[in-house]
Amino acid sequence: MRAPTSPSRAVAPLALLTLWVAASMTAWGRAHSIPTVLEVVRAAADGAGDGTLLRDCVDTLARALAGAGVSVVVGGALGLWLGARPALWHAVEPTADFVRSIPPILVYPLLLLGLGYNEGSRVAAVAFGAFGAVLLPVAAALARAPAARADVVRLAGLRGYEAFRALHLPEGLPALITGARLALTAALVIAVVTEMLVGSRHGLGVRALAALQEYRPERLWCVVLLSGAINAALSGALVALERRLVRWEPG
Amino acid sequence: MTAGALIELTGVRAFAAAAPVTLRVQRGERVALLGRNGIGKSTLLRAMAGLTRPAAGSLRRPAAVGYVPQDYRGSLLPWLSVLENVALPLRPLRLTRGERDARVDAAVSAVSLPSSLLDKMPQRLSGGEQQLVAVARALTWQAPALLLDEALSALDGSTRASLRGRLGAFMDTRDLACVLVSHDIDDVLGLATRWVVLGGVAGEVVRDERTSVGRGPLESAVHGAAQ
Repeated sequence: MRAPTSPSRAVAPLALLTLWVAASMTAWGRAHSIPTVLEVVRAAADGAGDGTLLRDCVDTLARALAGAGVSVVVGGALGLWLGARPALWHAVEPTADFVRSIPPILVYPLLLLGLGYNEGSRVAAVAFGAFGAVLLPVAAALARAPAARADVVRLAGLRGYEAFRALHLPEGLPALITGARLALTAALVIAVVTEMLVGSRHGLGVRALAALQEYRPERLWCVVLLSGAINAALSGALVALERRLVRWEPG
Repeated sequence: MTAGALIELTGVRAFAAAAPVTLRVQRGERVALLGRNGIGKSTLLRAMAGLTRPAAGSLRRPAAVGYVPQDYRGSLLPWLSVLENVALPLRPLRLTRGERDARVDAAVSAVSLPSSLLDKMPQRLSGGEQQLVAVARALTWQAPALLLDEALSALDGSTRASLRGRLGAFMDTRDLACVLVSHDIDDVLGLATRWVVLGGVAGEVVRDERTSVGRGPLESAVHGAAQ
């Protein structure tokens, strides 16, 4: 019996593209500010030509990567440390969950007040929003691991850094990489929103806001598609990293 | 203190509500702990391994013990191959690869673990094979005492019988002390030289016999303890 063939992964994006092309050619599409593919490509080419698109991308990416980087390093380290102490983690978890549930965009004004209207506040807001996506899964992965593993490592006489390398790091690694992917997605969103709020001169958020104010839907679409592509590329890189580093079946 | 006792429990309570247990295990002696579920057998074994502090009493134990936990499956590190899992206790010793492989080979052949499994990841193995890996790992410690918590429970009848023989011979040649928890009469008769029943309300030692008394008393003790 032949195995059922699964539809190609190209089907869904092609369907979306077809839908867009069809919508942009109708009166309804024009009435709802849906540009044609050609208009968006031209907007991208214009932005690439005068260098503004690249600069905006680089600025947003720098903020997102800096914030996500801080959250992966600090959230990952704290998650590994707390998860290795299940009793402590159970005491801290509800608070960590509460802090994570606070919308980072509401924390941003607090950071502006505390840290000033500067780049540091934006990166701090991004890091705050991405932090929980790393800390919680990493700590939970370690805390719910079978106790027998820690017992055996302890009996083997592995302590400190050796125990960390033999047990805690591999135990938390799959969650750390998954957390990093979620953190990057959250970081991009928050970076763009902080750029739309106050003080930024460049970035995809600034570009989107300008396109809206100048009524340039094709530029707006260009920003939307580009940010999706950036996120997909970063996520793909982390999936590739996960395949290299995590060769076992977690669980 | 009794001279020569390798493991010595004096008035040890596994947990606060448990009765105090006094037990001495000499070199070469193999003691089966029997008793109903929840009476504290595994907790006593964990205390003998140094993994938990007893609620009361004093405990003397060797610095190193080979231990097979009840959760043998969970005790295998899924990111290490079978060989690396068996060799885990050797890590702090910084042996050469040759020395390490020799000790792993001795343990693996003692439990008849097929060498074709050594390069596999443990989650690819059957439950019985995983348990053999956990037993082999306990043997690489080369410790003077072995603590086995239902260490043969996942094995099929013939593998189980053959492992009993091989483990017994392994412990005999090395004069190892052993404490095992089991609910299986054949395991007790095949592996232990002595059996101890924890019973009563709080798990005090209610019987302490040599295996040489035969199957009958053991069967009635096991059935009595199960109630």
